[in-house]
Amino acid sequence: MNNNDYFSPRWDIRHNLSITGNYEFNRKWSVSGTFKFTSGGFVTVPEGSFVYNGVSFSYYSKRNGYQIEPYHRLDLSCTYKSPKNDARKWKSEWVFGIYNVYEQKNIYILFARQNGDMTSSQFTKMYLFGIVPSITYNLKF
Amino acid sequence: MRIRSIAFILLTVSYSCTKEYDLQLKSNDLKLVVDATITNQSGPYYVRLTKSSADFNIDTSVRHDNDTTYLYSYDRAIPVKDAEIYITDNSTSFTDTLAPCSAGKWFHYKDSIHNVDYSRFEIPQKTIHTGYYETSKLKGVAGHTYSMTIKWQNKEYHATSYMPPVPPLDSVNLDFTEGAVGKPDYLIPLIYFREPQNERNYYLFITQNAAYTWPYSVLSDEYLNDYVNGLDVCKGVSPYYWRTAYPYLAGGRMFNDYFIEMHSITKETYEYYKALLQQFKTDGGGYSPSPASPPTNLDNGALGFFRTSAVERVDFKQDRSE
Repeated sequence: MNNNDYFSPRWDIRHNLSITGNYEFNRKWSVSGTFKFTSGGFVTVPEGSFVYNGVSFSYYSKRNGYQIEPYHRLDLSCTYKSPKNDARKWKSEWVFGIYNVYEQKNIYILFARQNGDMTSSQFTKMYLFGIVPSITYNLKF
Repeated sequence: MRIRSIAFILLTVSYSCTKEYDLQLKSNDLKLVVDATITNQSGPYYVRLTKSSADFNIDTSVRHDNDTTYLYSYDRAIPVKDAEIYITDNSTSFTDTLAPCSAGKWFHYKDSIHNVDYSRFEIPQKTIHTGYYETSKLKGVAGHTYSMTIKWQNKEYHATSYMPPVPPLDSVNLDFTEGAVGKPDYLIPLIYFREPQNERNYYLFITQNAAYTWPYSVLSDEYLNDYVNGLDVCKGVSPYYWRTAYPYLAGGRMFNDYFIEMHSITKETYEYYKALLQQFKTDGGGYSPSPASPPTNLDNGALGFFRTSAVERVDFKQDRSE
């Protein structure tokens, strides 16, 4: 495999950072945030194209020889707890959140496709979520 | 209201987008691409030298080297015009020095009647140099080994290839096959030949390049009997659309002229074409093996292949009688 040369495995994630913060303004309101950063994994990608017998083909990097861009994301949320919670058996809270605040388009799938006449290729990344606002109601009893 | 809610949830759940992605590869690290074939048919034989491209979305409006190459190079490859090429027949020690020639041009047409695009490669083309070099006296002989040396930009590239003999084709029969509803009937070429059993042989088939730009199919003799009695050549490794390139019938007559060529190839050539054909089928999915560059017989980082083949050919002429 790989001409007996060492190569990075797909899941060689060398840097992994998660920062979580939580601040309570008062008994009703609190905010929290999470920032996540991981370095990109290693994949095999076409490094270029060449024409043979009139058709464009790809030539590739070394096995897992290309590091994709890092993954990072910031999530923020704000929680409201009802003052009535103190006086009743069940507790409730509203959570207003924003997932991926700065709409980072992290790679979910990276693929290359040839055009119809097979003379060129185009790389495209698929990302799952941009910015996603959310409202959650929690009930404890 | 309920439908709107469900639609909103479904839209949210399935939310994802695609965006063009720049790999940011170094465009100055272009490789030499060699497209060379020597056969036992009469010469001259052509070698095409081009440069690889780090740009996967080539702008066809850009001229290469300030000439009009782009007009005549439909495949957009950038030609290499300043190389020296030598091919030696190792059996006779004869060395041929190849000369640049103005050859090679893809013509693309649209058949509006049958709604297919087709291409034709024509050489020589006398006005434009698209990276072709031609031999002058070299004669391809089955059983001989050929060595190629290319000198370009202070680097030397080498390749050696043996030309295996090809067994004679006894015949090729065109087997009538009824087309699907709304599609024309077509003919499947079945080949007949005696297969040498005491050695491992590999074959490359070329059909009339009438419908698509890739008329090649390769086959190993691993499962062939002593006598190949009507082999459909698409049973080897072939593009998925190979069958649609078969000659079709219009008004009960074959619509175009047609040919089948059977080329003997080495195991290395078989593996190379197999890897090329694999690229047509690779979907990049997580269950596919990691892709790799096709295993070339050229050294020094060059791409492409130096192929030597003995050829058997059968032609079929279109029935033009009234």
